[in-house]
Amino acid sequence: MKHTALILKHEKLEKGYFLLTIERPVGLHQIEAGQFAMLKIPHFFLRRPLTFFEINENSLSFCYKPLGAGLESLTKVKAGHYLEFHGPLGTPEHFHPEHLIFLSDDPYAPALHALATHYQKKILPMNTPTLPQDTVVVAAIGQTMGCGVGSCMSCVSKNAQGEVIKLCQTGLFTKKESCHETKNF
Amino acid sequence: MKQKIFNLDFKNPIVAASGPWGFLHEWQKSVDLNLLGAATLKTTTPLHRTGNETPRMTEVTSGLLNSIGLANPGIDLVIKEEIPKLHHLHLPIIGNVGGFSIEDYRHMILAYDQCSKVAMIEVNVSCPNVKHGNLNFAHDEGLLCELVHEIRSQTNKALIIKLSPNLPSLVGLAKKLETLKIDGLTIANTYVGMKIDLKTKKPVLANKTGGLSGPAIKALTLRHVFEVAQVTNLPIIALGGVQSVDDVMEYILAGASLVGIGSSVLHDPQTIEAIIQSLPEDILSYKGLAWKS
Repeated sequence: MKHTALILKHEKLEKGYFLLTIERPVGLHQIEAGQFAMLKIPHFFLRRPLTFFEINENSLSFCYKPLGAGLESLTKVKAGHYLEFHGPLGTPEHFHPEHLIFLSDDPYAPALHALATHYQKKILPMNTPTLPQDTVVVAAIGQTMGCGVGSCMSCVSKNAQGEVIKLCQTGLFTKKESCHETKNF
Repeated sequence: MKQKIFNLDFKNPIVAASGPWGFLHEWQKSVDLNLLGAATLKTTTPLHRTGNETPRMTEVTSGLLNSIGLANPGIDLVIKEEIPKLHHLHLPIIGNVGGFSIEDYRHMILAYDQCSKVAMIEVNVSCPNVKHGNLNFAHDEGLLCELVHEIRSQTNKALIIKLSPNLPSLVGLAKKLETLKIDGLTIANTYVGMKIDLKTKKPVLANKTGGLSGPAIKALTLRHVFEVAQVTNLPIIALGGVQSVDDVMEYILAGASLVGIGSSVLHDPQTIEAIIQSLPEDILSYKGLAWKS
């Protein structure tokens, strides 16, 4: 569950985003699209949750926009150094690919990218008009996360049915027709 | 480092504290829970609580603020669904009860008294994040003594009171509680604090204030443990900001019998294993040496 991985690349992308690519640790065999990791950030107490962006045989990546001090600090970590993280975490829902769409106004949609790739779907803008009936809409919602395993009860939100859910246990995803984009902290 | 307290066997002095560990089973894949001396369940109330509005956790320098607000499924579901998941744990499990009235606590103590997996009961009277009652018990000596008097007879299991650190001194209260035949004290819960977002110019937490935990509070709580341990024979579970075996040693030197680890599991789930593996075998021989002549 705990892994330390060599950072292969840490690139600045457009619009303030970063792409952090690491060597896939030996022993980290199975990662599902939509799962995430809790990253240890130098000089910060809480770990930061980032969804696996690309899941390859020999490498993994995380895409993020540093909206808070923690991820801002992560941007300073250079290739050649090591990243410690816990994961994979979260249990993403399995969808029927028919009538499935992904919505995000985020140019990279870090929390949805791996899932959309898995289901071979494009990510559409949040204001996509006239969704067909029975469409399953997947968008990401964000909340400060403490543990990543469902124990600390910090990252709760309400789903479309009004039930309180722990986002870390549902892999940061929910079915909801008007969602907020993931908010890193 | 083995000891028998509360008529229970503890293989080492390290205790998973109530709160960030949830109902413990959530950490099974990350931590070998059977290494622990004991483990405490999340505070449970008679009925299900969703807790406070979000955001209800935020990072601060050397720690975190939480205003979870005792979110839990309620005692019936905890006993029916959470505790059976702990069947593989071979260590004292500490039930933690919260409430808003003496009747709430009586109900909870009776429920855990009947639950064989729960070896002892920690009474949380010091949650800073719920309105209408909980913290009032910790800050009103008369009310707390009335509560203890009412619940002591509800169980023969060890009963420990988790105190609030948000008082100038815990010495007088500890001495008074010792006369009421409780079995021990947990010192202490979190400190009331807050954080303001410089962009929005508003408090970060929806609840405005929250409980401060993490290494930021260790020196503060150590003072409470040091003072209380000198005036009472009650075993003390020290709790606040432990991140290393040196922190554990400081609390033992101050007079603690057991040492809780809470928020550090969020910083690094492997902290607990690293600490336990580094504990000196004779650690308990250092107990109270900071003030014993």
